[in-house]
Amino acid sequence: MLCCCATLLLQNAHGQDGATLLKSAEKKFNAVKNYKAEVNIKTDVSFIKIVPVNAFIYYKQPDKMHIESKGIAILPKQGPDFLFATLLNSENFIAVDMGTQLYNNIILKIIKLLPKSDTSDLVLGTVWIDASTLLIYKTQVTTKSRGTVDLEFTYGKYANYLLPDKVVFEMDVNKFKIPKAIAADYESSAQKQKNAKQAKRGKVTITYKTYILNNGIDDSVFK
Amino acid sequence: MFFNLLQAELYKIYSKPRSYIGFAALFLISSLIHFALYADGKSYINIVTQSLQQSFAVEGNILNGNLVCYIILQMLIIHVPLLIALVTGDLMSGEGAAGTLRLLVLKPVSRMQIFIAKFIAGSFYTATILIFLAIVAWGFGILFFGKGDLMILRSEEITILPANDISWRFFAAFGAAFIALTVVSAISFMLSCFSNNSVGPIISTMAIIILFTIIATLDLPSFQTIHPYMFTTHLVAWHMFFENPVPYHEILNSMLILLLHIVGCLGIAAWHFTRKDILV
Repeated sequence: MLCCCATLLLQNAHGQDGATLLKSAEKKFNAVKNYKAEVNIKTDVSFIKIVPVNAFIYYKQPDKMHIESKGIAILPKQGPDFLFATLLNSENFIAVDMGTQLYNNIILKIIKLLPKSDTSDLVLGTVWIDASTLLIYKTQVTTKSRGTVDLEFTYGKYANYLLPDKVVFEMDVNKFKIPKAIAADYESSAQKQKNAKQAKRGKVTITYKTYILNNGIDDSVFK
Repeated sequence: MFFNLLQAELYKIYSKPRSYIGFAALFLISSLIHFALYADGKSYINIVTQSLQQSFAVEGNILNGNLVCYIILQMLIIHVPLLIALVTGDLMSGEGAAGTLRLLVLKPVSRMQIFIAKFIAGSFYTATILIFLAIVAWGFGILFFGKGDLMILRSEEITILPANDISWRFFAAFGAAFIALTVVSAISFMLSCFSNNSVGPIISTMAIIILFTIIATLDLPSFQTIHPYMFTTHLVAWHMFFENPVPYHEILNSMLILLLHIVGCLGIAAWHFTRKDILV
């Protein structure tokens, strides 16, 4: 009985091909013309000591994104706009179905994205998407310029708009080093050796507290 | 009587034109840095954060008054001892050179009182130099660049402190810098007690600072054992207030070593001054 149910679910998940699924997700997301979100940004990178920062993220179709923060906020280069600007722009890549995977008791369809152009920054993308709700739960994007970035999405009350409550970025980070002449260094070389071990992966968590959807945002905000 | 003596010592310090060289130099250097950062600060920030911006997007106002003050402190705090020694190195030897020391000790006050009054007056001058530095570096920085989070760039690490968590750090840092500069004041004052001309103690103080700084910079294993006890190692202890979390134990250790230097120098100076034959 259980085997039959699982087979039926898997068949249903395979029902649409990857490109159609992403196209449907893109169409669904396009219902969000603009939003203003209050967020909390937590940066967990070995060489950066920073407390979580509150900020506002402004988004406007098709690809305008602006972050407003009273304090200094550190975000991945492939920021919150990256997924929608790149992955949901189906003209740029070929989607290949790679089967399914069980993730937090949800059967997710795995779609590999291959760039159409040789000059594209995108090398390879993988999207884990729930075929029934069109929610993207995980992505892994490898670009020429910024290495590999893993994103994990958690959804809540804005799931209908494909807007997450939490996004966790895990990315490759280059070793941080600036010339001693301009650095505020007073430690001895022995102390520095203790601090020298820098992890190669960094993590940034963006928690979306509130969204104000389709309330109109002036273009001047993005300048 | 002691307060009259202290008042007279303060008057002597502030009536000498050389006492204002420090204020003028601080104002000039601080203004130049403000101007340079106002004109080219953004490109300077881009250069220093280049390595960070390869992986991350940095949002917010990095170039603000807090950062400008930190940069000025970082640049100036090593040079301020020279400006302090210029005055404190002259406190006792200046009297000798002018031939007024004998007259001074003839007053109905003890030599120890004269000694203490002079040192307190020198410390007061040190405090006014630091307060002036705080006004021109931090006050003007906030005025021209506004407030904001403080990004501290170390060669392999970045610390970002929120704007509402910075003021107390600057006050504490200036307090720590005061104790550090009082060591310089105590050294030059001690040398001043051994001399009858001002140039010797001033130059000697600078020579001592340069010598110990070179020893610290060499960072050789043979110097590692004395390194933690040299006052020059702890002259920059103020910067620890800008670490997160603040290493209070290390700060306390630095302050104790600096205070021991002050006590040591003043002890030697007092022992010599209360016993020496005053011939001029």
